[in-house]
Amino acid sequence: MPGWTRALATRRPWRRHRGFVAGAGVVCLVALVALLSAVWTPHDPEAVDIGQRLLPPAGAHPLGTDQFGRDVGSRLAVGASIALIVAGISTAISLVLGVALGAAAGYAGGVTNELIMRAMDGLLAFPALLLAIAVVAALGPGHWHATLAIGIVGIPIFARLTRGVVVSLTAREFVTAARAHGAAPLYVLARHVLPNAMPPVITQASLNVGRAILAEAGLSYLGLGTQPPIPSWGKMLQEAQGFLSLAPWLAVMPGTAIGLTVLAFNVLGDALRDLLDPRLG
Amino acid sequence: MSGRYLAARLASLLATLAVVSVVTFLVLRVVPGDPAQIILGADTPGDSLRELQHALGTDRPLAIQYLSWVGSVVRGELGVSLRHQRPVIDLIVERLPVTLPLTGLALLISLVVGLPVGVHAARRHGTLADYAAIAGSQIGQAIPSFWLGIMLILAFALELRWLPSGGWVSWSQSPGQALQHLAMPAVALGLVIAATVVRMERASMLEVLQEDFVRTARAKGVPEPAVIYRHTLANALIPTVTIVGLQVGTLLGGAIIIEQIFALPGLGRLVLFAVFNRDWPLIQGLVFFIAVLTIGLNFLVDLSYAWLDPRIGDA
Repeated sequence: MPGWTRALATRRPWRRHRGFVAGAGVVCLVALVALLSAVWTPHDPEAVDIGQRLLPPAGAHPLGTDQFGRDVGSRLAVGASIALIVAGISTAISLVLGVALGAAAGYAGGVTNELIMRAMDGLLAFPALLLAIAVVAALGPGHWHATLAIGIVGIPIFARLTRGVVVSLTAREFVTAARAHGAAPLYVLARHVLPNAMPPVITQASLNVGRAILAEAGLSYLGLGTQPPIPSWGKMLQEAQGFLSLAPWLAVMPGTAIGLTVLAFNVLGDALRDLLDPRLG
Repeated sequence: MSGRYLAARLASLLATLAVVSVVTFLVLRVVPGDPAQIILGADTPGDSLRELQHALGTDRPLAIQYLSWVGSVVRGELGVSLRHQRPVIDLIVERLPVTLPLTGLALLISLVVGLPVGVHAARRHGTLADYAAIAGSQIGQAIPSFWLGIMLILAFALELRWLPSGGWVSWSQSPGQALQHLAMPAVALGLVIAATVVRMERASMLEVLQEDFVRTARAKGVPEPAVIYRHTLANALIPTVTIVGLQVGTLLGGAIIIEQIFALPGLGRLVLFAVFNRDWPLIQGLVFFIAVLTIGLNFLVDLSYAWLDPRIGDA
């Protein structure tokens, strides 16, 4: 049984780790708000009411209203679900493809390794946001294309990480023993190597969700991600910039939501690193 | 630095460049939709469509198109912008006086803020000051630079009226005003990088402070500032330099959004112009140019790494 399943089995250190409790707590809270927003929000997030425009936070609109009189609180809640869906799915894309490519490179070695890793270096050479913009430019704006773009950008990070772990594990006795017994490569990878590569991958996934939320907000701010009228945190920020002197709270709210959520995923990622694999420190 | 090290680094640089050129070419060429069709609109007679395809060279096989593109890149040409009807490289060069000082200033700010805070936090490990530095660095890594930019506009342009909220005055017109227009964007971009620098510098200082040679220096009675600045910092800088080098991409990517917020006519805004106008030679040229810039700067960082730690260059 690898160390991390043992760590899961004994829950005490988890409950005592303040970073884990705080990070996971806020992540759960944001997820809860996002889930709830699918069935209920205080107001219709897309309902325009010009008579109620740019109201400061108070009364029926605890977080105020925007330039079309739409309830900011309700829009932030739906924005949370967009952020989590885009970040979650894009991280899944990066993780699955990255782990597969990294494992193939690390296990096969030789030419396969060179080809895969040079391609990964090439992808890493692009500024992440620029590559995402280029992909969205090719596919057209929208949150699904943004998801794919952010997912592609994250692949080399998981590939490098996985390759490193796989290379070091493949040299270990238990893997050599399994190979000597005639086990098929895929079986050895799935049964012996990848389970042990999971702790750093899980840690990276949490940190990656934070990065992906920032990337989605950035693309949406630029008008390349989530398209109106669907509320997204980045787009809300961009719209708020036009009313900065009239309604500064409009810009404060989405930024706080992005910052808090990304902070929670980062803190959770650091905590997972402590808890799942103390050696990584 | 040995010649073999330099040769190995150069070889990997060329390999990366080759991959980058293929990716840049493919991402924007295997797009749904024919560039000529996009330029002319949906209901164009077939003749003029084929004429433009021929003029653009998009009627040739993909491999030939790629090779001819690489050929022109090697000659220093990046094609002609469809909307501006001017060479892409000229458009890029015109915008460099905005983007390069912006990212350079941001990098400077990140080091000026990040290094002292990181060193200070490590020296006072486990104290309130250390925790404050960690918390500040975590928050800095979580907030988007563009939000920080908007908050700076709110505070320093709209409330205090110290700085312009956006726009640009060229260096030749007034260097002072150009600097004023760059101040807030550079701070917004720099502080986010500073958060990473703090975290990295603190961690590597803590590691080096535990080394035997630091204990020896202290035991010999070397004054504490000399222990910190001469013995520890020099060694702790190496991982930080690497991380800062990797941030070059973050800086150039971040500049795209920051230039948009502050209405700065730099490379980032040119990227967005190209994307929204489907000016694909311009997008392609820009993406390739910025990627090459990133690779080039990372290469310099790699070399400086060997210079900071001679053991690496000789390996």
